[in-house]
Parts: sequence; structure tokens; C-alpha cells
Amino acid sequence: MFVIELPLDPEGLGAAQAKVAEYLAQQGASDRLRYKVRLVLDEMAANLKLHGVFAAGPQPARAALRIEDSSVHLRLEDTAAPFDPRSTAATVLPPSLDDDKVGGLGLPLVRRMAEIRAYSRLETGWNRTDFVLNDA
Amino acid sequence: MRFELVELGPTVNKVVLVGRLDSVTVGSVETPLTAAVAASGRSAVLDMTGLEFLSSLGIRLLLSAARVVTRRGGQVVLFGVQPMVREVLTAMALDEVLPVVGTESEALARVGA
Repeated sequence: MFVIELPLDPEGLGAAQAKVAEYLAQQGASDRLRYKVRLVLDEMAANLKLHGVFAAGPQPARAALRIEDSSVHLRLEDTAAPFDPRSTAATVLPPSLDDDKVGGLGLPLVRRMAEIRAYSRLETGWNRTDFVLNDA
Repeated sequence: MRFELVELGPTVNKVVLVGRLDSVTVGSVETPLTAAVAASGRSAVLDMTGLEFLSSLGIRLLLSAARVVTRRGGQVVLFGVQPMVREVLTAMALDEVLPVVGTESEALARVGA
């Protein structure tokens, strides 16, 4: 199990992503799998930073990863207000250059790249979301 | 993340993207990259050969820049897209909005240069 704090600021997030990538490379994860993990971490951290509601200001999330049967099992935990990412639309309309607003792509993209296996709100006040990512 | 602007002629520029375009980097390149892509109302071909990672915030940036170009009468075409970046573009149906072709020659032909 690899556990790491996931800061929401660009510099901290970039450093954490580098450590996750190093771990996955050491474990023999494919380029495709490493891309998917980086994408899910980037999207979820961005979502927390842009939309998360924190009682005491934004706090780093934490991630735990393990590889099992060529799949990455990723657990993300954060202290923002309760939010089940499975409650969002799994797909979005194709973007248009005629629209002035472009957004809302992140979570649908996560759902295309990973299975969100479980969500729970812990008694400690943390959100816990479990993802499974594979090479398919 | 870095990019380079290359003037290919009176109506088209090439913008070479290198690195990762994600939540970590987008804030530092958003303004200059949009200006480069949308410069002078020219069409733009984006060399994606060296872009190894693209997330939704990067997609949003590319769409915003392309919107400016199209409103000024130009076009934006992507070429040399790496496989996983291509998969992300396809997953979000972006390739239906911004043409993706294989080579620079094809991209230039697409914008009529």
C-alpha cells in the first residue's frame, strides 16, 4: 500500500503526482495505467480546489494506492462537504465552440477512465471514495 | 509545460506544445497560450507530439482558445496526438469539435494553408 498526502496547490500536487508515478513505475504499471491514475488524481484534486466546500479552509486530500491483478485500487479521502462523485452525470454533451461556458468535463472524464466502486462519509468527517483503474 | 509559437505564413501559425497540460500547469500558461493560439486571427495548427498529458482543464483551455480563433474566422487543427491524449479527446468528444489529424502537412491542408 502506498499512501501519500495530496496537496491542492499546483506545486504540491505536482510533487505528489511525481511520487505516485514513481511508485507505479516501480510496481510495473503500464504507461496507460499510470496515465489514468494521474488523470483521476488531477481531476479529483482540481474538483476539490474549485468546488470543494471546507469548514476550515481547503485541506490536502490523501490517497492510498495498491496494485492487484494488474489493476490499481485507489482510495481518496478529503475533508470537504459530503460529495459522492457517482451522483454526477456520467456523460456530457459534446463541447461546442459556440458555447461561452466550457466546464464540467472533469468528473465525466473520471467516470470514463475509472470505476468508482464505493463512496462513504466517515464518522471522522472525511469523504472516502474508492476507484479501480485497469488497462482496458 | 512549455510551448513555442512558429509563424508558418500570413494566415497560419504553429503552436508546439510540450509536457503536461493539467491543473498543475494550466494556470501558468493559460494567458500566453491563448494569446499564441489566437494571435492575429490566424488559423493555428497545434503540434501535440510532445504533449504527454492532457486533463479536463487543459481541454477547457484548448476549447477557449479555439473559440477565439473561430470567431475571428480562423480554424484550429491538432496533429501528432499521443495515444492516451487522443483517448481523452475522444472520450470527451473533443475530436468532433477540434479536428485531429496525423501530420503537420494534413493539418496545414485542413486549414487551407
